[in-house]
Amino acid sequence: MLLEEALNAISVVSAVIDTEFAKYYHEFLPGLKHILDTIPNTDEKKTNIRLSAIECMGFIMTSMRTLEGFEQEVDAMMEYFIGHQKKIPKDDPEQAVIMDAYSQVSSHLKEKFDKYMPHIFPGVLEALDIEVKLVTHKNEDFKEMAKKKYAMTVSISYYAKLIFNRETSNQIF
Amino acid sequence: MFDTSAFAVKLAASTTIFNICRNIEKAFYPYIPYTVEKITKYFGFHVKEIAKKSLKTLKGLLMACQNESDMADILANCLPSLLEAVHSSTLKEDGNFIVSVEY
Repeated sequence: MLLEEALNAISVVSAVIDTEFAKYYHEFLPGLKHILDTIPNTDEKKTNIRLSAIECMGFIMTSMRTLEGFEQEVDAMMEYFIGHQKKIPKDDPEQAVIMDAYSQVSSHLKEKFDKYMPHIFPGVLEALDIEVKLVTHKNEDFKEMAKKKYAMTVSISYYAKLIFNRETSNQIF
Repeated sequence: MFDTSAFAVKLAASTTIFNICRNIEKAFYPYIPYTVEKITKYFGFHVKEIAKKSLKTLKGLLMACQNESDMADILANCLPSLLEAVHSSTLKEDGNFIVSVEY
């Protein structure tokens, strides 16, 4: 989708010009938040747009690291991410991208990141314990499932190889 | 078709713990006991990336310690899981690792 490509382009530009991108953050961040607030997570395309928007926010935050008032801006962004994380399911792929953004922020704030730890760390530890089950679907259900979930399709030969290598009856992960 | 979102979240969590621990160093100290309790379960996890990140986090935890006694506590807590992981199939795939342990 065009919007997804546009978001990826913004991410790439902000990563390439790095701190030079910081002066434009006022123009992009409200729009990115608006995307997350208004585009529902109902199918794969919309999920990908939302994931790209969160990734983009992470890159923009990184570009702002030398800006005066960076910590105040990060406060606002972190508050937004923490609030957003509580609204989405524990196994939503957005959780993964938000955690990546936390890693990025911590690499810039170093020990100052400590103030966010009580708010984010219990959730991260919980996510580590998330149960991953192998779920297979019938061929005719593929199209319907692909609309709803962030999923991967593998060929039956690869599937068989994984089963053989793991020496388990029905579990891969 | 496999639903991979839960797996992506689990993998991201292991990476995030490792990154935060490495980035904030000593400020991670209060979270060491909770982290040790969780990561020891994943030393021999059958997804190699998660097992590797957990083992690397252990190194980060040692860096976050205030003194040698804290380090000793962590190692005492981790040692059984660590030894089990060394003998698990995941780490046996890495020939060099096993050789270095055996010698």
